[in-house]
Amino acid sequence: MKQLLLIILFLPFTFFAQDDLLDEIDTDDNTNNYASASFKGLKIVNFESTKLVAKKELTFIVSHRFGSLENGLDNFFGLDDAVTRLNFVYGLTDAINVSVSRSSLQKIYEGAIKYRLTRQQDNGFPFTMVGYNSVYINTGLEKANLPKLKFKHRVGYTAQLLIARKINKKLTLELAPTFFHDNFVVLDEQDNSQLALGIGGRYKLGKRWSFNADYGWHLNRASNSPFKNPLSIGFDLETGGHVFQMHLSNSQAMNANGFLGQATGDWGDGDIYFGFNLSRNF
Amino acid sequence: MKKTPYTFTLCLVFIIFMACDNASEDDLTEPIIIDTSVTYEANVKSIIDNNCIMCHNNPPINGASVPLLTYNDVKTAVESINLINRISAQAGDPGAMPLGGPRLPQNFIDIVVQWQTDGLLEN
Repeated sequence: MKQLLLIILFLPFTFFAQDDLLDEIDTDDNTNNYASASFKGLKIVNFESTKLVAKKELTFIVSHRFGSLENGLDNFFGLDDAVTRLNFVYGLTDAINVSVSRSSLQKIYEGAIKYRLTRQQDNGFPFTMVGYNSVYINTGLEKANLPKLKFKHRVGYTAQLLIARKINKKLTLELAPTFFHDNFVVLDEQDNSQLALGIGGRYKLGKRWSFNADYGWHLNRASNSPFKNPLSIGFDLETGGHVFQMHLSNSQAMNANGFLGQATGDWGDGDIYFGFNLSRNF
Repeated sequence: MKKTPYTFTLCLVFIIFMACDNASEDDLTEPIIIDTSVTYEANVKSIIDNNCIMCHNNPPINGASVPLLTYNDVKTAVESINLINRISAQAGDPGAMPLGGPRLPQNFIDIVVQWQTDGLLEN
């Protein structure tokens, strides 16, 4: 009888314990009045967000872009032509992340480093600024097709500055001036060194939902280029350990050089791609 | 975090070592000059073998629809399922081939187009 009483008395504490666990997950280090949770995902849609992975944490991101929706049921709205990118991001510190990825589109391997320079703070610096640099290797190019191909032609670089401001509780906006260089471009008229300005944002619709959009404004695209500027819209859904991002984009490529330089779809024609990013923390 | 500067240095060294290049498709291909008619055996087969048959084998794998292994396979594909449109489409366009890969160099696409114009000869 005494034992039963004890159990009943202590039962509420087990519930408190649950709360404590949840608190641990939810805590944001807010003692310095830093803006918290400007973004929930590591990406807005295609562009990197200013969020970083915490120290010694590993995040695995699987991204898919289906084929064009244009052909409808014939290829099941693009499912038949889907491409995949697997991306591991590791936090060396809270402010420095490294990542490696492989994309099935053009068989691209990419290594990247992402580092926070400043943080938005109440009564302090007004922006969160993050640098992002990456090097990719395109292993999809074939020597049989391009007889003079050397290894260096497979390589390309991205240097990007992400400047974000959480305007209010719901709205965060980001600018992403980007310089990128492809050692190999398809069109002779296209400069290998290219400049673009990314514009993106996130608007919180509910506790777990947000609306995201980003646009890449290419500043020196060749006039006869078949490629377009990437515009993407999507939703973030947060489910415990996962962030699930669903979106529509006119770019099938997922690496910065790919979606900025080689997006082929066209919103006007319905030639757009359904895609999602799924990230999981370890 | 003593290792961080090393990571940075490594990346920097890597980037400097790789250096930049300004190549385009025109710089890496040689013009292909064909005096007589384009034929399957002499000109087209090598393009198909290098780029298509890894999936368009017989039987086709990785979800490919038809084989492109023989002269008749390729001829049928050009005549009835628009092979030329599929390889001419920009990468990522609906139905573009090779799937997920870079588009074929333009001089190869031109050869296949010329092959059709010349009458889809075998040899």
